[in-house]
Amino acid sequence: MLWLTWRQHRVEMISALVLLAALAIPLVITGLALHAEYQSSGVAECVAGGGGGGCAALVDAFLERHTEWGNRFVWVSFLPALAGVFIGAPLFAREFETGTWCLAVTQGVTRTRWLTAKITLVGGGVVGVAGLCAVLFTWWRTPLDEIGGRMRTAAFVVAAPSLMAVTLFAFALGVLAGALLRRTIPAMVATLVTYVTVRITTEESLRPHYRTPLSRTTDPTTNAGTEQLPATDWTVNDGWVDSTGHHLTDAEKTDLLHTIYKGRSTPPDDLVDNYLATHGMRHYTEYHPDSSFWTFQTIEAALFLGTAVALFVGAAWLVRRRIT
Amino acid sequence: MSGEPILCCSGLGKRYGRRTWALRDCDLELPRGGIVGLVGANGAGKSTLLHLAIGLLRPTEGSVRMFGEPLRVDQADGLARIGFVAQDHPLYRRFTVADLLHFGRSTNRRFDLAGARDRLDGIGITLERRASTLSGGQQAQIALTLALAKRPRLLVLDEPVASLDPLARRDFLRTLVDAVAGSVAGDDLTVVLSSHVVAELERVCDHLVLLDEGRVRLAGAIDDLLAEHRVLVGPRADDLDTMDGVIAASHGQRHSNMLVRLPGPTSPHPRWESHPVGLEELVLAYLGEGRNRPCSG
Repeated sequence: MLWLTWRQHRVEMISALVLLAALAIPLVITGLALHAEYQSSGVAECVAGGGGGGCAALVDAFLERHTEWGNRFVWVSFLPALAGVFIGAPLFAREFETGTWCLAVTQGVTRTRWLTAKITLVGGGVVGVAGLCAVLFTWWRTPLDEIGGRMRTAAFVVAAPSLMAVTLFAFALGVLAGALLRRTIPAMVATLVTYVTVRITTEESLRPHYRTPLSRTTDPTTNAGTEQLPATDWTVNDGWVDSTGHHLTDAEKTDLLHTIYKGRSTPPDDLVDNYLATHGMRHYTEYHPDSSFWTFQTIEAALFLGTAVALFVGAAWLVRRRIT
Repeated sequence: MSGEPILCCSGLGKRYGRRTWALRDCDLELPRGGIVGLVGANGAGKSTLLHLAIGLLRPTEGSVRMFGEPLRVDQADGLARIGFVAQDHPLYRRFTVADLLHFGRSTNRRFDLAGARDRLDGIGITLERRASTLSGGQQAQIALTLALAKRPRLLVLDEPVASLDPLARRDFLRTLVDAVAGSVAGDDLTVVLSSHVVAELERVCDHLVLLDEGRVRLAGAIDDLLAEHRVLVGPRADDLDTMDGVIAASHGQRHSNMLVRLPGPTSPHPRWESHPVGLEELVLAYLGEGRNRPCSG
């Protein structure tokens, strides 16, 4: 089965490695430059706690130059879709579509071995490539993450546990769609749509709630907003809280702003903060500290790995039901 | 050609969905050795029976036994005994011929690689060719070669020649007949192939199974079947359809023709002129009779 699986999927494997190389070459070149600048410009020293005055400006300038590129790594969250669409979906769909499953399961290899060999060998290869990508992306981002923390989306999604688990999930999704629909193109479309939906839902609605966020309230006159918080925190929510501890909704906030600004064409800068202070209101920030990174990675990886296993079991059941 | 039947189906049935029975109440015993032809109209249940026979489908009711034992396709031993060529002889299209042979060798404990190479060489198929670049006849030959190289005891072919041109059909069937003739006693090969072209089967088959609307209508050695049936021609008689042993009857203005199955070595009444029957005629008579059954019954 090892030879057959390799022969059937070597084009995909080679394409994946070519894609990886195509990403690696520019990333290694720019990454080396980024790391060198991080050290030579003194930003690394500032982040480590030394450096003294002028650090804020140095760090800001460094971020100014590189954050935009760094943030583009959020698109990596859609990279696993390739594994699902082009490798997972055809895994069984193509065998059913071309009738070659009849050829495969009437040789000396039992159906169970055929199924498990295909899923584990191809799945293993896919996860391996995802792991290499994760190492590459994480290495590139190291300077930015030391400044801004690893919890932000662009840093979080490229970390190895998350990226490998999500890639296996995307592959499993494709395998299941192929086993269910038994047609390659519809299975590919179904995989893509489901993957994107799940991924966006995870980013938007799930990950911020893996743990109850920490909360911090700050006095509006002495400490305005979130500016003074450690840069490595991942802020998931912020706003105003009144003296009873009630978090103001967006509508309430808008109403209040109307009241404060009523009739003034040129309001003074500290108008809002003064109003908040005199009415017993404060700023609050809900955030996840950088120290939660591994907990979050574990939760996300477990979530996607568990789902992937369930999808594999479902796909195996579907295939076995079709071919006894 | 003795001992346990290679294949024994009892009460075999397969239902798709809630009520569509593709095959029902199928009792069938196939002797060892030789080539068995499975005939029937499209949708008669031929593919279903073949898939059940090699465990590609699980029966809804009844059982399949090979050499007296339940069919075990969940074990390598059970799989080693069967060979299968599906309809349209699917192959991995991106594989070269050499890849396909490698595939056969790596997925079977027993695989006659040298024999397979010789056979392909003999019909002029080079190992470097990609499967997708070969003609339909050549692809069929490769699929057959792969199945034969396993040295199965039962080889099942689903409509193997339906998509081939006459020349390729002849070559394909010749390979098959040679393989059966070349199999040694004690390790003999039985072939079951389905077709809706009866003329072909007459030349290569020893045994015939006729399926109609999911049931076995007729089964036996072709020589015996031909000996048992007679076409009788005589003065017109309209009450023939209800008589025992009459398979089909047709009436002219003065004469009646009928196909009968004689109970033994008896001679019909002398007012009937008796003729031997051809296989095609026999098959068509049974299939036609099947269609008319609701009216006559």
